[in-house]
This record gives sequence, structure tokens and C-alpha cells, in this order.
Amino acid sequence: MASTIFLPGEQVPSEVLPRSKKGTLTLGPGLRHIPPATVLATTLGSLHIDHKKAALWLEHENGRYQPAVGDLVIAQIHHSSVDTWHCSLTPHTSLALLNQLAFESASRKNRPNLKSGDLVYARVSRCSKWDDVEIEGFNSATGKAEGMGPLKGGMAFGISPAFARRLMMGTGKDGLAKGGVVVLDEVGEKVKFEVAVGRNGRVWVDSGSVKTTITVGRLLQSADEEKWDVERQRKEVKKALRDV
Amino acid sequence: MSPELTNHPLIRADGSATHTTSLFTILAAVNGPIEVQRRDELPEEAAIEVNIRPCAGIGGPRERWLESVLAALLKSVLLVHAHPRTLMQVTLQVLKEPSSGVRVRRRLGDVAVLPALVNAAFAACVDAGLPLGRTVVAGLAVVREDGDGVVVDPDEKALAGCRSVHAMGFDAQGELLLNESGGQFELRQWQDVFEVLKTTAAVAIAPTGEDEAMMNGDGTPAPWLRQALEGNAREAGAWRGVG
Amino acid sequence: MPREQEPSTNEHDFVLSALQENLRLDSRPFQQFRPISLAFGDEYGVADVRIGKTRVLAKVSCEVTAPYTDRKFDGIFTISTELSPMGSPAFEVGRQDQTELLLSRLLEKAIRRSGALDTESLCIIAGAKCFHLRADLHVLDHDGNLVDASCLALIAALLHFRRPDVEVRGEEVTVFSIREREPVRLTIQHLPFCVTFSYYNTSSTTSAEPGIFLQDATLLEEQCRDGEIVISMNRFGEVCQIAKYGGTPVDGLSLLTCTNAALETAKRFDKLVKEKLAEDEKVKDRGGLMAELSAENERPMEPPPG
Repeated sequence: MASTIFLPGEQVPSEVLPRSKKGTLTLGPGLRHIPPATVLATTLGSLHIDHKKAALWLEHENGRYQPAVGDLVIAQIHHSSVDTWHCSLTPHTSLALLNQLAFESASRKNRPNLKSGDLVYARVSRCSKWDDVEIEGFNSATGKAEGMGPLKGGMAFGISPAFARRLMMGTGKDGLAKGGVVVLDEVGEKVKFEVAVGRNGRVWVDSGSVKTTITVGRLLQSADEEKWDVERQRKEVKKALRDV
Repeated sequence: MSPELTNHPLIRADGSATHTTSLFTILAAVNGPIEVQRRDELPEEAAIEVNIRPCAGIGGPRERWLESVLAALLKSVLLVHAHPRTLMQVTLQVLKEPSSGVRVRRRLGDVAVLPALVNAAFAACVDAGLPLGRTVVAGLAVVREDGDGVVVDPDEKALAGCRSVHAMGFDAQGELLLNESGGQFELRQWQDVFEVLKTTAAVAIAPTGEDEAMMNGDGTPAPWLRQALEGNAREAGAWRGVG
Repeated sequence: MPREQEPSTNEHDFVLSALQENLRLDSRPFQQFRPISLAFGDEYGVADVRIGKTRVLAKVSCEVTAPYTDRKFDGIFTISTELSPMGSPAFEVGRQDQTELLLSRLLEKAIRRSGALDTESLCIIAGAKCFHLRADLHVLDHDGNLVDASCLALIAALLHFRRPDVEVRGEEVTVFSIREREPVRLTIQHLPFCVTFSYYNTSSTTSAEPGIFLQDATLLEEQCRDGEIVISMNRFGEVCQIAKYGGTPVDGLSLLTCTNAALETAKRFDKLVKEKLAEDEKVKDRGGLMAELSAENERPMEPPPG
């Protein structure tokens, strides 16, 4: 698929807009709608269209993480007030709120004991430009943790938000990683470790040994910074694992 | 010399760009949207903070003036309403300026740096992924001492021996977003400059079609800004295997 | 007030436990620096230093002014280290924070007061005219070890700089531009370099056993440390200053070990700067002013007629 690149302020031609039965369009990041029927780019990026969902968005790689509902993030507790923890998602942005009872099987008497500096794997549950972002440590619809909750031990490595997104894309029907990152799968075949990827550009890794954890973290960071392709990733993983 | 643009030269900042013209090299860094201090907070929109740091010495009234011009321009380009109660922080570092051997009259030199600052700041904002309403391109032109003849993107010699300096910025629709001039000139000369700079700005972001290769040959000026930006977007999406 | 975000408990604990296993996050040995690059600008007196992800740009410039009345035979040399939000959003414009204060003080001690620059050579007419040399440091990216990087950049920029040539006739001073006359190098008496050691008193260390000392700590490592020691010395091992602002106590023996390690690093920096300068001069000289000037001597003898 040859994607078109748009500059900020450019109009998406009406002939490329997907048609849906309902006659509605879903606009993703990087686009805005000017009534009646103009769609403008608000950033530099390549246009992606999902015809099934009648959705379109612009992909832009750099920049600070912007919270969106449903995103899994690694939040760092900043301080605590009566019923909430104030957590930081990215440095120097206003703090997100985390209800102290928003965890699996948490009650007034039994809730996680978190201190300033602790990490939580959480989901963005509410965000609007007018209000503080809210996050939760469990799926409030099912009441299950679904992998979320406090992160103990291990190490949090910084990666770019775009790379975090690629890590979260999962595998497609053909069994290939959609995001083009195979580092975790490749390492996972040889050694055991736990991992949590936050869309806010942090990845938490824990394995029994300090050395393995560092190796995994370094591999991820280098794959991100040096833009390794799949072939290179495989090679580097092999090389790194020889020493572990 | 056609202007150069390097994307994302810095690591810490959310977005950054280096911009080189025949006179200046500017390094721009953007952080945002970040937390704003209470006293600067705006309830309905993002506050814009511009810091300009000269190559040597600390900033004075000249830098404060440049900052105010730039902040006003960026406000018309950034969609400030998308992130109320936040801060967009733009830092511009002058890395290279005309050597002190060339004596440029004060006010003329002040105006001359503006287009480079604007282009660098815009590219950094794009890199940072901030919501933007339009694409802006700024250009510099001088009117020669004889009062006739406009030189676009002048070099040090042309700047030193000129009658007036004009910095203008346009968006893709050709709307005038920045207009600062220094020196002596008449309305007729300003209009000449306006037409010339408007054309150069349009060329800088002219769409590249299938005849891209043809446009770059035979001396036609290349759409440098579009090429630089599109190059970045392509590189960023390279992992998809998209051409 | 913007401040650098503290590392999470997980990161803090992990860094320390890794150090106890003799590991750093980037798998460097304790005394090794990250890759260093030094580049000079097109004009004289600009040096761009990168140590890992940290990047500092130093720019030296000068102008003619009147000397201080109490120091009639000296020129003026000032170092300005104003941090901007470019290096990190934690740096605020117009407010001096701890980092900036320490940086400017250390550079002042290491370079200015150690007499690295001969300020008397900046004097033009005693009590009336002198050069005011100013060095501006711009931190472009901050990932730890600002002091070492800034000091290296500053020394390199001073060595690279050329001041305009002057001619004094009685009370009249003529300053020649670069085009008119080949500019003059500064008189540098020795090259001091700062080497910062971050130390950690791990739980296993007792007073008898020294803790862990790291050179070239990253920002995260700096945030987790128990203290720092900054040693400035030149390649001859002459110590210009030792600074230890607060932190837990360090025994004398460790300090000596650090000084020895600092000497190795100072020698390495010294070599690096000189190599890069020679490279730069070679590039600049090609067909430049120096080539033109020397051509006069190299003109081949005309063959005798007939």
C-alpha cells in the first residue's frame, strides 16, 4: 500500500475518504473535521485508511505521548491524596488520577499499598482535554486485573512512544509481528522473563537475573534507537543471548 | 544555496530540528504539551513560550522582541485550543550567524534572522507532533542599495550592502502570516518583495508529483521544505515496509 | 516548579543491585566513558562535544573593552553557563538551579582560577584597552555528566579560538578583521580537565571497604548516587581542584584511587583534543589563508634562461 504523506493544514481529498453504510467517518489522530465536509491534516504523517471501520488517521512517529482511552500505560506514583494516587505518565505533564480502589478485588480494607516512586501497569479510563486524565489498575467492566496492577521489582526502560505502539500491535493472521518487532519473541524462546509495555514510552522487564533483564532492555532500546529491521533484530538477539 | 533542514537532531526534546540558510544555522527544540506554571496558565488554550538564545552572550531586548514576534506567529499556526492549560515550549539556539567582520546595521540584522527562526521552530513543532493548523514557510529578501532589484536568501555581502530587509511568512494558501521589515523602502518595493517571497514560499512546499525527478533537474528550485518533511515521514514509517 | 522527574523505585533499586553485580545498564565497565565525539565549527572558537546522549556546545567570542580598574594589566575572561529548556524541560529560563550553579562554579575553579588562560596576554594597553573573552556554554542534550562534557568543550573551544590581531601605535589601537590579518591563538598555559566520579555506598560496603565509583554516570545513575567527587587536573597530574559537595563521607584512600583514575582520563582527553585540533587545522588549511601565505616560500625557482 503506497501511503500518501500530508503536511499540516492540507486537505484530505474527498475521493479517498472511505464510504460507510451509516455515512459516518471515524477520524483518528492527526486529522480534524471542519464542517461541513472538509478533513484537514493537523500534523505531518502518512495517511492510513481502514475501509471496514470507515476510519482514517495520520501516523506520526515522534513526539510526546498523548493519552487516549484504552491505552495501557506504566504510571509512576507521585503522591497520594485521600482516595486517589496522583501518577505521572510522562515527565513534566500534569498528573493522572488513579482511584485507590481501582484494582482487582480491592476494598476499603484491602487495597494495594503504593508509595511515591512505585510503578503501576494501568489503563487510561478517561481523558479529555478539559479534565485530568484518569487511569485504572483493572478492567472496570469485568472487574478482572487482566495483567494490570502494581509492578514490583524489575526495571523500567525508556523507549519511544512509537516503538511502544509497535510492540503492542501483536501478531497478525500470518503469524508475523505486525509492528515489525520480534525481539521479545526471539528472546522469549531462550530465556524466561516478564514484560509490560506502556504506551507512554516505558517498558518494564523482570527476569530472575539482573543480567538478563539488562540484556532484554538494551535490545529493545537499541532496536528502537537504531531502527533495526527484523533480520537485524534476530541477529542481535542471538549475539546477545550467547553471553547470558 | 538552498536551505537545509535536519530532523530530530536532539534526543531529550520532544521535537527538534536544525535549519541552515546562507546566513544562519538555528537549532530548535520543542517540548509540549507539558505542565504550565499557574501564572502562565490559560483556561482555553495552550500557552506558548519562546526562548531565543544567541550564539554568544545572553539575550537582551532584541531577543525579547524576536520572541514576541515568533510567539504571535506560532499562535496562529499551532492549534492551541487542542491542549488547554498546557505549555508549548519552544527553544531556539542560534548556532551560526554572520561573522562579526560583516557590520550589519542593527535593525536589519534583527529582521534577517526571523525567517530562519520561523522555519526552524515550525519544523521542530512538526517533529514534536503538535497539532498544527497550517504549514508556514518564511523567506528573507533584501532590496539592493540602488533601490532596484530584490535578492532572495541573501548572503553576507548582499545583507551588508542593502537598503532594506524583509522577512515574510506564508502558509500554503499564500496568506501572509509574518511581515517584518527594516531599513528604508517604498510601498512599491515592498510589493515587489511580497510577490517574490510569496512565489518562493509557494515553491518550497509545492506538491511533488510524478515528475519529481524532472523538477529537480534544469535548475528549477526544489520544494525543499516539502521534500525534507516528506523524507522524515517516510523514514519514520520505514518499518512498515511502505515505500 | 519544573524539576527533573525522580526515577521510580524499581529503577533506583535495579541500578543499585546491578552495580553490586558489577553491571551498568549499558554494560560499560565502571571507569569507562560513553563514546565521545568532538567537532569544531566552521568559525573559530566553536566546539561541539557529545558524550553518549549528552551534548554540549561551547562558543568563545571576544570584544575590546576597558579592563577592570583594579586589574589594569589583565584582560577579562568570563564563562557563562545559562541552561535552557533545550537540554531538559527541568531547566527554567531565568532561574538558576542547583545544576547550573554547580556547573558554573566548577568551571570557574577548574579553568579560570587554575590559570589555564593567560589573561595578561589579552591586555592591549594597560588600564585602557583589553580583550573581553567570553565563553558561552549551551547544553543541548542532558543525559548526565554535564561537568566533564562542558569542561572538555570549553577547553577545546579555547584552543580552537583565534582573537583578531591588533596593532598599537602610541594611544591608537587598530583591530584587524580576520580577512585583513591572520588572527592570533590564545595563550593557554595548561589544559585542565574535569573528571566526575559518582559513588555508591552499597549495603555491603563497610568503612574499611571502599564503595563503588563510576566515571561518566548517565542521568539515571546520577539520580541514584550517594555523592560525587569532581577532580580537575591536567595531563601532568597537577590537580587544579577537588570538589565534593555534600553526600556521604569518602575515605582518603578512595580519593587517591580516584585521582589516579582521573589522570588516565585527563591524558585521554588531552590526546583527543589535540588530535581533533590537528585534524581540523588540516581541513581548514586546504587552499585557505595559510596555504596562500606559505605559497610564497614554496615558489619554485625559475629555471635559468637558455
